[in-house]
Amino acid sequence: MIRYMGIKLALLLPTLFVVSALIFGLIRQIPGDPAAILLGDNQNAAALAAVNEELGLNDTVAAQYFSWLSKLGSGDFGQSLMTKEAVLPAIGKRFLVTLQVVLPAFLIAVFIALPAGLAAAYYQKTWIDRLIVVVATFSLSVPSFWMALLLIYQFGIDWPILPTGGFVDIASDLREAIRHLILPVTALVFVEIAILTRIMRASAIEVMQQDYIVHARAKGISEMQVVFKHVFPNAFAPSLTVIGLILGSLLSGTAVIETVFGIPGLGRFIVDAIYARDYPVIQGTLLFVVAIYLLVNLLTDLLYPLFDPRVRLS
Amino acid sequence: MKYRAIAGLSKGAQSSLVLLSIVALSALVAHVYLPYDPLALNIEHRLQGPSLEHLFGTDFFGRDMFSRMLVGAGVSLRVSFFSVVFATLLGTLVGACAGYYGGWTDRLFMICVDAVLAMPGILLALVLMLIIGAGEAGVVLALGLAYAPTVARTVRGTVLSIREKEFVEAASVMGMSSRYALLRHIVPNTFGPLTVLCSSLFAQALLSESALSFLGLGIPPPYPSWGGMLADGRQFISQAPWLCLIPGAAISLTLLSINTLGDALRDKLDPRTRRRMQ
Amino acid sequence: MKQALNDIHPPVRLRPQPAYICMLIAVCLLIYTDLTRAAEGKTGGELVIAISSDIRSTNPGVNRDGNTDAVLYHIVESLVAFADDSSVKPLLAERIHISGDGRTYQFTLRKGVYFHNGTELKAEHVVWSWRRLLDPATGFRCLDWYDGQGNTGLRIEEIKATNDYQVEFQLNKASSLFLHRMANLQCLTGIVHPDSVNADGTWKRPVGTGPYSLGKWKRGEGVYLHRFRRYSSRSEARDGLTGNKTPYLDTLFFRITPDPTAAMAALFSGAVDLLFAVPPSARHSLADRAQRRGDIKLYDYLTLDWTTLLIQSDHPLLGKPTMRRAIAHALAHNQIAEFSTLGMAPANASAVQSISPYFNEKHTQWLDYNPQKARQLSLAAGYQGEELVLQTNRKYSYMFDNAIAIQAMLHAAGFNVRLQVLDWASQLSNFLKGEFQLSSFGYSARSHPALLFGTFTGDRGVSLNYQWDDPIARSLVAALENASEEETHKILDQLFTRYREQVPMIGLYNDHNTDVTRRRVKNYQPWAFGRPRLWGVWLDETLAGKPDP
Repeated sequence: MIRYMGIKLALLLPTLFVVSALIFGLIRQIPGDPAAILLGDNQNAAALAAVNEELGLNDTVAAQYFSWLSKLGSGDFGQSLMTKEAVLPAIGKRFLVTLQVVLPAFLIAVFIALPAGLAAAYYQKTWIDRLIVVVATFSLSVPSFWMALLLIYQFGIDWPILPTGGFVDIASDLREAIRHLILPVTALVFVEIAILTRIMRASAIEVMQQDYIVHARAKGISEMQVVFKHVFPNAFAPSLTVIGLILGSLLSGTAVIETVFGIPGLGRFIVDAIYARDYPVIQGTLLFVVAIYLLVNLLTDLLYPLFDPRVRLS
Repeated sequence: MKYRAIAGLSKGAQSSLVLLSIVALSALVAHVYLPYDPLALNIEHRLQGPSLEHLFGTDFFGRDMFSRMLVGAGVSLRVSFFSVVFATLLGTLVGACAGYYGGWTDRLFMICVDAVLAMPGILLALVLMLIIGAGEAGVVLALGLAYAPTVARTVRGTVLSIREKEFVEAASVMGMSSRYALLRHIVPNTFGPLTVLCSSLFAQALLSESALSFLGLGIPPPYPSWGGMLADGRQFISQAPWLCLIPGAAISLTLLSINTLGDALRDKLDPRTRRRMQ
Repeated sequence: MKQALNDIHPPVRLRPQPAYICMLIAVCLLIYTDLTRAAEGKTGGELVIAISSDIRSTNPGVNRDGNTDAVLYHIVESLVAFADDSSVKPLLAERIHISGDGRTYQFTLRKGVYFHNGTELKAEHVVWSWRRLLDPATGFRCLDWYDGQGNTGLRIEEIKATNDYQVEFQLNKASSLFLHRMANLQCLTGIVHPDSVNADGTWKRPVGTGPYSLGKWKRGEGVYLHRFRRYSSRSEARDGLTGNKTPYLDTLFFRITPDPTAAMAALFSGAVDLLFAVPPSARHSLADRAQRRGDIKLYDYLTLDWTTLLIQSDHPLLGKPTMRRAIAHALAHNQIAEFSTLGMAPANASAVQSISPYFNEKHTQWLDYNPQKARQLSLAAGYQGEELVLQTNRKYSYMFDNAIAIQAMLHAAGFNVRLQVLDWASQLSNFLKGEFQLSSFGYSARSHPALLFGTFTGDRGVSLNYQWDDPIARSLVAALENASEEETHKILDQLFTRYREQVPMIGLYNDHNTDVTRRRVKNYQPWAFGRPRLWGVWLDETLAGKPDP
């Protein structure tokens, strides 16, 4: 098992290497000059050259890449060009913020979607199924940022009972933190519920047509047991991959929602850095996000056999 | 035959088809007739609510929202469509090569595909937009490049599963070149899964175009896209909510139709579901 | 062009003219209301200000942007500062004495001024702070204004303390703009205590003399400032960044709120007390709310920011004065201003700001709106309908709105113009490299028209961000460096006349801003630099506005 994990982890390295080169190459292609942004109103050729020197941007791109890569090896992600903040601790801080938004949304989605999908499959072709499918398809079709705007309009302007922006850390004030999270989490959760419900329904339907379910029923096991002992575990396994994909992409920050609600999470950190051409921040954060995504997916791969006895690790 | 195919669809899918046709039709109508010039500024009539004169009201620049929605339908559909076409062409090429040649070609291609897939799509598209430049072509290229890996994976998977099958082997035994075998058998066989994937990519493209506008880069004005109109309208939300409501509702309804049709398509084309139906 | 021996106290002498009289009355009213209200000030409470992005650093004049400046001028103070009318007045200095040759500036410091760490301000601190700024290792962004490397050639030759409360600056030549630069907001010359830096000279945190001291900076969330209890205020009425600066609020929280819609909702819900520099497009909704619920209050004012249309002078066609005049004739100035600012700001083609004391009737005489003539001139210049690209961005809504209006008007006059929307960084870098045909642009507030002319007039061989490379204009701008009031007026008029002939670019209007506060915020006053000042401001909880219907 451990050996298998080691191999899998090692296989991530070439992907990460390609990602790092891709990111580095791509962002240097963006027109616009960090030194110019840093100087803003007060610039002249001499000041620009001085700042470029200070930022180490006068070297060739390849030289900059290898210097960045070698420092990465020793855990040094560099520092922000704009704020001089060290990149790695900054990522950590932003990631904690993103977690506080994404995890509640994710858990809520899982706890609503799995039973809903199962119910739809069990009551297939009845009104329950149709209702769940229609609601799920509908939620899938409402863009989260539009939902966010509607929520802000409803609960921030029309009937102002909830904060529409800002972030309070859970550790500092739980009640306020929850109040601040309600709108962004709501805006996020619909689409996730929709995706998961549809997947769960589809795989549950497939499982219910398998021979062993028919056998189980023939043996006279109660319907409850059929659903929870046989259908659910077998249908959950295929959903797991999708759950992993969703969590992985959510953890990369939800740039749009974070921007709308003014949450200092990873997504906004990257978008701000892209607009400011803050190269070390973009590189470091994107690489971190990709690594998280790959790790979460690896984890779901590893968990898969625990839920699906048919699959064995080889 | 055609009629029966449509009649065989569920009511939901039928109404989706009608809705999508209306959207497509309004995009076409916009080329022939518009109640107002969608670009003409009119200071006296800015931020007017919906009325008989201006069905969907006017925006901050006094431009007629109804005319802009009509034109925007064309822009949004065109951009989403060509993004998907570009992604499909590129993805199929990469996926088919990787799947057919196997070995190092496959491994190398797949590492690159995985690398792109692991990057957050919207941020990748944002970076690409900044490089290519905002505009219809920019959005198409950026979204196309961001989606191509998904297509490549699907095509590769299908190719791998078909490659071993007898009819391809039979073809090479019969002395046909490998390229011909690839074209003759593999590409048509990926058609089913690809159609399903494309419908979901089309929905994603429509969504991403709005998200890009939201982050400040999308289709540049003065030509309107729905996403751009939604993004521009949000600052007037408390005073002129229709500026957000109308484009948002249009996007949502279109997405709903595409998703419903996509489901119907899957039921028809996915062999596993077909088996279930029997 | 030497100035006679004089004490700058008061520093500006203005000729009577309508604009000036209006301003004088306004200032008097302001002083009056300030004085009567000052007695009511209540100490305490926290005020939350929405800022669009995080501050860059706490190191004034070194790593900065507009929001950083706004936070830091509450913490540090300079020897001199801008007044409401954008003239320069003493702040930490009690008096300023300029020698007859204009090369020696003697600053007498106020007594009883304390740093946030409790030390009294002495001349040695001024010398230390300035030597630090002038040390290239500090990275002061405007070093070239003072080290002789800049285009003015001005250099501070020596700074010395003549006694505990007196500092002398020795310049290599006379300059009437020296104090204007010293008061500059982007390059704050704040006097800080040596405790502000670490042992190795790197920046720690600002220990200044301002009415608020730096509290916690939560990156990505915002920055807290706390009332400085020992702040010793000047006795004059509040005036720009000087005068009475008594802090009443216990805490200021500059909260990062990037999305304008969310910022507005936060103001409505009371989570934020102040939004500043709200664009005219958003003002609509706010005015509506203020009228319906009365829980917020709007403050309208004209700024010194100047919005422009840049025209590429290296372009074979656009470089021709005839073509540039054609474009000018195609644009209805009043309509663009009306359009982008909802009629809140008058059009102003001149670099002399419409609220500047140097503005007069002559500066309103711009090329008339005449699409017919525009077409004829463009034909004469050889324009045959080629596509012209107009660059703009969405970060600054006025540049975007201007571009929409400009495109529509040029289109109506037969020009084929395509909008290109870039992100701000790309547009700025194109501006610096001279890579644009047309660009919807803006110059941030400059306190003196001479400084604004100096920003865009110069040798394009040196820098492509100069838009006007005309020998006569350059010598006129150079002459402004050390001119008397009367000469300044005359030169500015001459510059505008030349500007109108050559059309180096097309000025549109000085931007209009709106600041908005919750009703409980009392005695707030906006000013022409478009950033909030939170001294002299207090909270009155009895004024919550009408209950929600």
